[in-house]
Amino acid sequence: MRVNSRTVLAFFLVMLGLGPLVLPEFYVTLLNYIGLYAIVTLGLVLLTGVGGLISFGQAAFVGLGAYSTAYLSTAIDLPVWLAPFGNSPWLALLAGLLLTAAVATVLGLLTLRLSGHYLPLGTIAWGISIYFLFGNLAFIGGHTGITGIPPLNLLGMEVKSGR
Amino acid sequence: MDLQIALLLGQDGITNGAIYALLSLALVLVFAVTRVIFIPQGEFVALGALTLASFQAGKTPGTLWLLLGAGVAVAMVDVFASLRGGAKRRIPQILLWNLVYPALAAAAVFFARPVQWPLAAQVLLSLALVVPLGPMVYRLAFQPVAEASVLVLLIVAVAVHLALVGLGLLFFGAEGSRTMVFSEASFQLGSIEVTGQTLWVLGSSAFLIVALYLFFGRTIYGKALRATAINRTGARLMGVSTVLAGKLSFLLAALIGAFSGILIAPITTIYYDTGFLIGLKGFVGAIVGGLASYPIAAAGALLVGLLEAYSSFWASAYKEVIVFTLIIPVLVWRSLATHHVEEDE
Repeated sequence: MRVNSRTVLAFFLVMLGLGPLVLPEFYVTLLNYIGLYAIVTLGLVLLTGVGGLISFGQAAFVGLGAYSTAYLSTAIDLPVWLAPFGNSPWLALLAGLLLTAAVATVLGLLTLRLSGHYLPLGTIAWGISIYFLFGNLAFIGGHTGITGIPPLNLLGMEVKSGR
Repeated sequence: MDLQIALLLGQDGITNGAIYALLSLALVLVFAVTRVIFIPQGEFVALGALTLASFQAGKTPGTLWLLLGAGVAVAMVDVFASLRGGAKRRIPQILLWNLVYPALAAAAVFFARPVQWPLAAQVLLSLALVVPLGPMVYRLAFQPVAEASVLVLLIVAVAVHLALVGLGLLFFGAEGSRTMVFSEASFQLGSIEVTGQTLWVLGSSAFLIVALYLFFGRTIYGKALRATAINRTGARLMGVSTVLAGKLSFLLAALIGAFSGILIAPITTIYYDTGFLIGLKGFVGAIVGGLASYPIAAAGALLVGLLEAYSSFWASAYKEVIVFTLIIPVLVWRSLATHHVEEDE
């Protein structure tokens, strides 16, 4: 029997909708994390599976997006041109996406010229240097990080708890 | 910065650079012989240092369990393979190296634990525990995919690195350790003070480099390794076993790694994940030499040590950022320089 990929997708979506109604809190949280990691994996599938490029520095982009959103929505005195992004977590998310895309473009321009095994080595290198950069910048909390980030608001519902 | 500080930083940089140079030689060796970019090199540094630290703290080092476990796994894989291949004669030898040897090592550890052995004996015992892990890792992770592309081998290497870091955390815990210095002596050289440990590091590095040089130039095993590095198929046709060459290069890499760890353990605090960064810095040196030239790799590694020492003076928090950002232009340069020589796969 051959299973249609659309059937699989529909089954998956139904299970996803039912899951939070029947599963205990722990498993819902676990599934949330799986979902978050799956987003990162999607990027890698596109890059490695489709594009044939190997990246070990994907975590740097995750961190960049997270840090820029977190910083914009928690910082107290932003400069005037950045202030609108600080008002709503949605706008901060958009700014995070834009900044990550910009950094990725620059890194891509620099490292995509690398051939063979030099590319994965290059991605390891900037992955590490961005990790240490985040750990040492005082304005984003260093190794302690940022807390008290306001949750996203979707149709009057706060995206906050596991469910 | 005055001359005094510059000299102190220089001494620091050369000491670390000597360690990075040793590791870069191991990386070049492993890459030349097996085409594996040996990311887990640094783990052997941490394992060697932490094993010695466990002995000095009077504890049973976790690497013993790792050795016993890996031995059992290798014995099972190898016995199964030789039964299928009809080479039953090899079984006693397999059992000897993978079950009897770890058992003897375990006996030595339990015998040694209550009495504090002299430092040299502790160092030898640590090496005896950690070094055999190199060939075992090769047998389990790399030998089955030995003919795969460099990229596949690199991904396997990253997986082995993650597995070993996890095992290091499991066996040694998250807290760091230091070991006793090899010698308490210190000398006055001009206006700066040179510690005995620094001389130990520099002397041992020089000794190992000369030993490696003689090994590759004068012994039949060294020549077999060089032949495999130059042309795998050709070496095979001349009767050089590529499996043996792979295991031998991993043995040397593990020996160099573990010994480097033991050398720097009195200078820096070693955590279960410290090895990765130390290994990667050796790597930067190895890449400067295009993973092919031993002298350029060693020089590059010394340069990394000096760069690190001086950048820690101006911006100590950012020294890792500086070192790993500077590797990218080097990579671009090496990549462009070797572009027309396509990989021969």
